[in-house]
Amino acid sequence: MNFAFLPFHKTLINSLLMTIAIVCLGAYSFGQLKQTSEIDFIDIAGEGGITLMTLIWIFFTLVSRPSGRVTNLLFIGLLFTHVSVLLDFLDEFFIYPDDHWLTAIEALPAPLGMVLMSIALYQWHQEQTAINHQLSRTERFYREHSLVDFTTGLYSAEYMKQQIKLEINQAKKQQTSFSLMMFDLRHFAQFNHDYGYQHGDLMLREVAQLIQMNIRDGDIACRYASDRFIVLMPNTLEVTTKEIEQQTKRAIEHLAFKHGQTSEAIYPKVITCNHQYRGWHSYEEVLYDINNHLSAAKQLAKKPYSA
Amino acid sequence: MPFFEQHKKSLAIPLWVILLVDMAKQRHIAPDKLLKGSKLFLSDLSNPKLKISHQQFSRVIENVSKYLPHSDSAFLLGSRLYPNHLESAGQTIAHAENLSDIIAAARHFHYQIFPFLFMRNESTEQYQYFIFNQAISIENINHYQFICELFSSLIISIAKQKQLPLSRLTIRFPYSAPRHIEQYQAYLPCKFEFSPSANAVSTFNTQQVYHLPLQIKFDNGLLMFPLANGNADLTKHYQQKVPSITLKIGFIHYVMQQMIKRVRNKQEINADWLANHLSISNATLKRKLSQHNVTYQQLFDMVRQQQAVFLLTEQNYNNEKIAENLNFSDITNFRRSFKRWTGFTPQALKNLNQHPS
Repeated sequence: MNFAFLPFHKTLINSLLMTIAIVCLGAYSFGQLKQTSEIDFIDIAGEGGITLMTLIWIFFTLVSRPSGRVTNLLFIGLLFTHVSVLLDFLDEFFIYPDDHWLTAIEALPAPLGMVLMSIALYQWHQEQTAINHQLSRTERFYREHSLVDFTTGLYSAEYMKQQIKLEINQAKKQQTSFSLMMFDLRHFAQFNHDYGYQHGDLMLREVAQLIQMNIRDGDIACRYASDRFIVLMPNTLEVTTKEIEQQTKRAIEHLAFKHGQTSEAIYPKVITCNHQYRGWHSYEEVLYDINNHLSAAKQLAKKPYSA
Repeated sequence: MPFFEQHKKSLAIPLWVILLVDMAKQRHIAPDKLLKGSKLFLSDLSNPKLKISHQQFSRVIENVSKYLPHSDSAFLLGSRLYPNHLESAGQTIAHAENLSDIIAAARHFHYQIFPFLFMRNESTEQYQYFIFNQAISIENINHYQFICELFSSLIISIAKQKQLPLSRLTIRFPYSAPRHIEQYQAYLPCKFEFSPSANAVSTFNTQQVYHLPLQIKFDNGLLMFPLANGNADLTKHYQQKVPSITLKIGFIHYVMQQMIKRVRNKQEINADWLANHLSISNATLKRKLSQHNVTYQQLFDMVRQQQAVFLLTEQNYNNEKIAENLNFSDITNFRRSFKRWTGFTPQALKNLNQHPS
């Protein structure tokens, strides 16, 4: 099993433990322990089982999801349900004074939690459809999802940030590294100006497809911003990265882009750079660094004849 | 009145709205969603004489962030405005010979090129600073950020086309680094930085007014750097095509200008004076200011705070000199006010700006 997501959920795990502690303490301070003879062990087995189950659900939610809004909502929903079930379970051990408010509100968190969970599941559904869509590389249809770029159908910068976070975490534990390469279309603003934004979008889309076709399975390509693309390559040596970078560059620069019905072709030019990352601490630093590499590559390209 | 207010239809920027509508169409979003609540209609937009109010445009921007949740909208709009959509102002700039010319044109065409911010110039022995504040109304941080992104993207498209050495330009944004930093990296190939103190300020200051300026800084040498496509005759030609009527300026621009002037001339300024100066009652002034989402005290603090921070961090003035500059009777008073404005003591803020974590 892969536990890479767990470190991102420290706050959630802490709040889970806190809530359990508070509920147990509350029950303990308001109620009185039952005599052994009064305890119904079949009930305990049943309700204890359900309590344990809700905890297992929370666990699986946290290990399988990156941190974010949907995860938080799922977690809060499950937590509320868990509180209800836990109170029910503790009932087996404690007797409360008559009409104590604790028994009155015991059932409340569960339905609330379920409503929250339903909302979360609906959002998860939307997220998943957007991702499926991206995976199938079909017609671009989803425009509102933050993990997929609408124009090119590649992943968005947001998704790349999440992936780099994961890679950094993995790298810390298993001493691995990862490489990034970046592509920047030259004179794209001028192109837009000359041929219009519809053609600009088309060009971006075609370049995106070329990048996607030239990388390996397991590499992740995303549109970073504007005319800038970025590819994440886990466990890849610099030599390999360079090779793929050159292949992709060649592929892009051989694209004979057509606007309209004429056979006149525009050949895109790209600036590229790559770097291997090992032992970095935050995705912000990594992205800042790769952008600097790109700026340096741009500077070099501007003066091709200097010594 | 020498100014216009946020509800007055005085902005000739239908093209901006058309470009935004275009962007919506490109992303398969119904154009009327963008215009919702703005009392603008698609059919109005084709009227070249159409003028809209700041209020209406604010509403459109609000819709943009709601229905076009792509973090690049402001940057795209900025890069598409120049040169064609700035009309004669764009043509004048396109033929400017150096940055000085562009700045002169910017002053001349201010409310045509970019009516949302007003510009103030400061200089030291080494650097030129152009300091921008909201000109018409004090809007919330989302709006302000959109405007700052739009403006910087416009500035950079101009600078790119004029082949200005962009590495000599630094833009300082009045907020802390946003999530979509990638747009800044891709669209702004100059140096840029954020204001690390911005967060502290907004949590410290219970009155949620966004009071830091956008700042563009470059070395003095850049002013006369020869630019691409410079042509003095063409610049003049386009400049003369514009009738030289004195345009009204934004309300906030006007009030802040008065404050800056009075502070600089060591003259007393207060709400009574301002109301008197505008020949309106104190209550009317108060109402007008609150329609622009600000109080007299907030604006006055803003003016003095910006001045104080500038003198402190860029001019390296000591507390005494700054206090004297801002007409404080003594340093203790100044330090207390500074702490109230920024949440930091002068020394702490200086350290923070020098070593942003």
